[in-house]
Amino acid sequence: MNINRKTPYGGIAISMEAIASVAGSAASECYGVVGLANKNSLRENINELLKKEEYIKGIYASKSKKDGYQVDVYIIVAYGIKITEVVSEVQKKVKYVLEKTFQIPFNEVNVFVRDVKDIE
Amino acid sequence: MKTIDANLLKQMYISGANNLYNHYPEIDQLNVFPVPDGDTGMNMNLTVTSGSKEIQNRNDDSVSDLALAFSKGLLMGARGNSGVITSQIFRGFAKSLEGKKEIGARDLGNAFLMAKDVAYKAVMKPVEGTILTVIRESSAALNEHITKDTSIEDAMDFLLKEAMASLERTPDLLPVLKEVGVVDSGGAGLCRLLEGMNKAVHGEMVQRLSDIGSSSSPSQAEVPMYAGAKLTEGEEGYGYCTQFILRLAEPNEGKKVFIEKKFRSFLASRGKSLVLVRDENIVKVHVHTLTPGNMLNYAQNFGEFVTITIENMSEEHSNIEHGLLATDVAASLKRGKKEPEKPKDEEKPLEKYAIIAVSAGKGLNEIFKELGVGQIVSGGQTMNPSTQDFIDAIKKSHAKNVFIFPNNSNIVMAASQACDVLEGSQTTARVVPSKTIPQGLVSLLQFNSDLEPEEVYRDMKAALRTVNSGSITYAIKDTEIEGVHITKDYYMAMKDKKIVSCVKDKFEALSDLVDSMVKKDSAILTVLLGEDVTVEEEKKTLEDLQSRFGDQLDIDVKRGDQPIYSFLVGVE
Repeated sequence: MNINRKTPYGGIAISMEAIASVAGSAASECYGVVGLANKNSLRENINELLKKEEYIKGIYASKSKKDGYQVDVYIIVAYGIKITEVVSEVQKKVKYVLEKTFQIPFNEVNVFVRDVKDIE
Repeated sequence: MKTIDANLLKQMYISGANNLYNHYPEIDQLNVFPVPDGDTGMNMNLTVTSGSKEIQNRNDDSVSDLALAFSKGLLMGARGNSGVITSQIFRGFAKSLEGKKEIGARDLGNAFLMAKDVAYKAVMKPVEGTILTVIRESSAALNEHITKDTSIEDAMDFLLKEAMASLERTPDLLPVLKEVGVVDSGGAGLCRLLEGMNKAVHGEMVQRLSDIGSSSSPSQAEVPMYAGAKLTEGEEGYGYCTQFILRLAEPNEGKKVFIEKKFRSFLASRGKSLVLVRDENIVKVHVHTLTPGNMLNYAQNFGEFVTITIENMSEEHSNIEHGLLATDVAASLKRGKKEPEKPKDEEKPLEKYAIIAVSAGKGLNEIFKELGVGQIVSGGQTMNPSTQDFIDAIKKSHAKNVFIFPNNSNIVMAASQACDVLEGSQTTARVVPSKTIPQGLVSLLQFNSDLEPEEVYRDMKAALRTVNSGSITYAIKDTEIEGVHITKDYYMAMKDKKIVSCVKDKFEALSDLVDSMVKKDSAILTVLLGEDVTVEEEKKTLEDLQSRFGDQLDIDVKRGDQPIYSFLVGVE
């Protein structure tokens, strides 16, 4: 999917990869997030950390029902921290960074905690 | 002083928490990272207060137990990013003290090192110029400073000095801080905490000041508004942020029986941003309401309160300039999710087949139902159903084999994902990748319940290719696509995904479209009328088509009442 916009000077197309890379970097900077996980790992049950180039696999952006976009973020969090807080921080941060970067409204940031890793 | 015992450590923690409380409004003001929502001070304060409450009434005789209790309190009460980090710092601190009755300066240094290690472990990409930097630099400096003659006072003085120096350097590491001209808010919070602890070591406990809040912020005007201020604008109207913890009564105490669903719906109907968590006989509620009294009265029917907090959010709001919400950013409230409905008909035997189709419009829904579709998932262009919608529908249809007709290329993915999710359950779901409504309809006609699932699936899939589909919709803006000039509010005729023409009159568009779609070997023409087509227009459509193609094709005009598309056309 591309996000297309028209300006008086021509069109702007923002690719999914771009969104994923920004959202992925924002999410992985959040405290308590060990990394991004593959969104399609339901069947294999392998929750490997994604490398920076693979962030697209852990992010899914789509048009939301309201005016704007929504993005799903699949993460692995660290053991021993308050997951609810980490998740809500991820939502806040990803929403903020995406909207600041692209100037497009993102109405929903859905965070999926795919695994909890013991980091000690 | 050479050692810290449990009693002193307790005083240090409490003094630190109080000092943080006394300064939290100014820390709020510094908050620009990671999201400039001005709540860092409040969050850290709540986190640490939760920790100090935990130890308030304890009389441990070993620092190990006390530190553990404090860190547990922090963990449970952690709020916000910096709150979570603070909880990790003190978790590491407690870990290092494990098994110790009292500690000397060397142990203290090691404890802060461990605090740093644990705090850093929980993040993949540590951002420097934050609270993390402050704990890292100050703990490292402290360890170099400590010799075997160092006193506790000296160690804490040095730690605080280094932490402050490190805090001053944060703008050099994090550009956004420099841009705005502030130091990091989380780091500032940590410094206040250490400052309080330091004072306790010197024998002066910091007490909570009573008049914290709106007045004590001279620097307010200097704090620049940041883009993020926009985030919280336009949230729901204010009211009272009401939080309480309710201990449910035992059955014999003469209180009403607590039914969570009823309770939830009562609160939800009278308030916003409801979060309700239940753990056995404790219920924690957070809700924004205009009438907190009613809620409390109602809740008291079921048990007694453990704690109650009510804050007037309008006040809170006007205290902070630029529309920032200090304590509760709505994002953190969206965690409360409805529990999925449970299928009621578990005990019924499974049907052999069930069909799910995505459709929108009354007429279309009926047409699909006539063709044997059990569940309609409503959706289509611009309103794609989610994977969860499909999973719900599949579960509801309660059959061994489920076929899904997404009827839109954008929805195929979501439907396939639903099938993947349910793999291995009693239901085998398959997606017939129909990309348009006409494709779905024609493919459905191939359904034959006497055949085996594999064969049915193959036949239906094969039928997809026999259909040419087209649609007519109105343009929402002026543009030019593939050499066709599009004018706003004109009707566009599209064959599959290609634009055939764009004209003012919808009948002209229809006629262009049908012209382009009908081939020599075509036999059947199906036209589905959208919700904007009137009865007269319906007649006219039929007559037009009959006169032009009547001798060549079987013409079938049906009411679909679909939104957006005036006509959907299928040619076989």
